[in-house]
Amino acid sequence: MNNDVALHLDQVSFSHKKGKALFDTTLDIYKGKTTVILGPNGAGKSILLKLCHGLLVPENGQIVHPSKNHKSAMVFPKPVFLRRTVLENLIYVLDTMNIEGKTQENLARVALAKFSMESFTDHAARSLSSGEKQRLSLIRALLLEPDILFLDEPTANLDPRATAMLEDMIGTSRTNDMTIVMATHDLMQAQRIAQNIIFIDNGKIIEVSEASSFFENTKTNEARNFLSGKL
Amino acid sequence: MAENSGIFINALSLIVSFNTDLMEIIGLSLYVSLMALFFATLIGLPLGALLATKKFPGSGSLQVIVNAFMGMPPVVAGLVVYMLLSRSGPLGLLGLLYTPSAMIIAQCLLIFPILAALSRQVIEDLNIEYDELFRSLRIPASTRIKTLLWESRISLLTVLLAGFGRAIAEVGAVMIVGGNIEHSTRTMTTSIQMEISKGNLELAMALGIILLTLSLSINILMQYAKKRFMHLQGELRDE
Repeated sequence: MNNDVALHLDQVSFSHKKGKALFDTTLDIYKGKTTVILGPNGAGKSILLKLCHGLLVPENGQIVHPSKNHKSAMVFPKPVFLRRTVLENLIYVLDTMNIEGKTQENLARVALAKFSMESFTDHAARSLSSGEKQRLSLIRALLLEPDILFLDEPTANLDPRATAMLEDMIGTSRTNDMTIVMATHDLMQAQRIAQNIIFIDNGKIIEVSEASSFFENTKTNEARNFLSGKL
Repeated sequence: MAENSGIFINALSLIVSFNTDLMEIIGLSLYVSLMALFFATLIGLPLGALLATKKFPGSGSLQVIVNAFMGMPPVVAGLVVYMLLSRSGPLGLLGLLYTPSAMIIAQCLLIFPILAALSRQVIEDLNIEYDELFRSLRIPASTRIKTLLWESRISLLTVLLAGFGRAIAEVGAVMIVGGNIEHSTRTMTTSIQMEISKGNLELAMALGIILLTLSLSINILMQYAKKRFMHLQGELRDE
């Protein structure tokens, strides 16, 4: 397997109660790249992400992480928080990493300050606005120091300002070796942040290419229809 | 009407004067019910948490049994404990019948299914809400249960209160296994029943007032604690 590969899917398929959700999928996700999974609602984007993150188990095939000690984290469209303060929610995550008590609090405070959320430190996490919640959710995921960060339509419920703030956070938090895989149906957003595009429809991978190539020289009719708003 | 007012005033004076007999009965009632609650909590909450978070062979049947036992008539619980503790019963050698320990066992048997069934529901709802978060963070099962118990602590406190309410108000089981022996196993409820049959309504009324006051005070305290907690956690921010 190529050294540049962060994640390899080999003939992966998945079914749920409504039927087949992902058909024999083989693809590579590349290290250090921002890959956007693009597709209409119900195409299978979230299922693909959840399979990659390990929240779902493939019906067939396998998902291979070339790195043995890989760490992944995921941000959901509607993040869930414990009934605790913002700081305590972050400390809870750090606690799972066996980080010592005082260091936990310091790390959490530094992370909040880095993303200008220190004023929310003692607020109840569940009382934050959707945009603030999503930013907190991203901070929580980043504290896990993931090699691969999965973002499942993180801006689906946000207004343009909150979307811009979150995209800015994604940009500034990216380290060179962090792989980002994001699902969205927002074409403009995909154009802004994607390096690679995976286009999916009806549980089938239709097109995989570099972002510039995908938008300028779309190869398939399905992707062309999607880009023109017909799908 | 005037006679009833007299009974009520006499009952109040018994309470205000801290009548020794009355205090002894209240003390024993609280001791028995709190101990029963303690042991029922030790059994009921872990069982509730287990049923809420784990699916294992027979878990469905166990859930049905626990739910069914919620409505167990106190006299049946009393009878079961009586048969266990009576001289010819399997635990007869312990000599616990007609002691406060027997009453604790009977009340515990009566309320642990309530604690298990209600806590299961509370924890299960929260477990569904947090499931994706826990799995995403790869939280181990033991930490998951600890987190769920802590996160649902206020609701669980209400569950415990329901159990305590059932225990302290219970009469049939403690009468059977305690025997309502003066200075030994006489509780508020068994006392009320006996004093009514004797026509001593003042003491019965005094005990009734204390039972009601106790129940009301705990509920007010719980309501306050719950609202305060919800405010702190941002659940009532729009109010």
